[in-house]
Amino acid sequence: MSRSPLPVLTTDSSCWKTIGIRGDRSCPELSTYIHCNNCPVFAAAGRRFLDAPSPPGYVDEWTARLAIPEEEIDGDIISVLVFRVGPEWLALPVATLTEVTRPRRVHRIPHRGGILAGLVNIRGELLLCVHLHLLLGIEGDPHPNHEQQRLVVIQRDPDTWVFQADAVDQVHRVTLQNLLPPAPTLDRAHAKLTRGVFSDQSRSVGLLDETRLFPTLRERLR
Amino acid sequence: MLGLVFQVGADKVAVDVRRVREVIPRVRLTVIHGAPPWIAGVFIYRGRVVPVVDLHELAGVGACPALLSSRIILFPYPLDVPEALVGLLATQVAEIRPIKPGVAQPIPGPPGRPSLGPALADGEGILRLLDPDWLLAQVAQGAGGLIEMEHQP
Repeated sequence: MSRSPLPVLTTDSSCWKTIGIRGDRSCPELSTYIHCNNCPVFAAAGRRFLDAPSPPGYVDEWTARLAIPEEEIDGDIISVLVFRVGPEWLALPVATLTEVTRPRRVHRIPHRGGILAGLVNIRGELLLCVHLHLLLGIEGDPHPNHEQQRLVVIQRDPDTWVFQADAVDQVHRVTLQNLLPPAPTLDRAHAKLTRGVFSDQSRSVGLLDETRLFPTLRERLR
Repeated sequence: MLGLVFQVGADKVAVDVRRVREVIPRVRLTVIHGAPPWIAGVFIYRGRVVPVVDLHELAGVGACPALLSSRIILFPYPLDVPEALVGLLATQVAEIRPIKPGVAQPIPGPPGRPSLGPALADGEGILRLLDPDWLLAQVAQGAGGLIEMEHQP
């Protein structure tokens, strides 16, 4: 807040340091109040602290801060995690998100291929790892940057899935009203699983519809 | 009733928290020349100009001290004008606690000025119970149009 420390009024009766909880605890009031934090003497000392003059810059800073009009935001805002699969930036609501972790070995299951990548050990639990790009009909990254790759664990009762993202950005806040419909050129499976598109800086991000993604994954892997 | 308790001079004053919009730190106020001394000035609050009444000046105990605990209590007033706010400047605005209503003793204000409200016994001390709507209606008359008056139905 301010650059200089707050001026502290010294009180001659800082009893909490001598006979109180930070002293030898000999204060008779301690049997009533148990801790100095509950004692009216301590509360009064706390209020005396506020009797100090305002530090320099305090008034000006608050004057400037309170003069700024509040941004009016209409509609519902959700937080989404933005990640990249192949060339596409996608997003999922953080409510479905369990964990983002470094890539680790995925154990293929014999005679099963397609969108099922295999089993992966996440904190001692074997979870099914899926190829999200195959499910959505996106081209995989031909030159993946292994430094940026992450495993994303998503959960929506009763299902937990893991998929590999080629990069994970951060959590963004999105106004649901600002979502645009997905482009008509999208793959059909992709369009069906996309709730809408929002723009973030110069890229457009497709927000996946978790209410359709989880049943679709379950259906495809049966 | 839950009351916001603060200090005006030697008096402890409480207002009903349900009437308070927000408590903000003391800000730099633009002085209005020619206004009564208890108008501390105006400032910009989130894009609109809000007048501030200095309760210390109103009670006739000098100007409000420039302490960390001196804060501006914002009240929506008048209630029939949307978004209209008036600030009251007081010190030791630092406590919210339950107030037991009891038999209140009316106490007059300084000559020509409104009172801070009737007095209640509060433990060993005396607590003044301030009705912000009544007070602001009183001061609006002398504020020269700075505080909008409530429209009488």
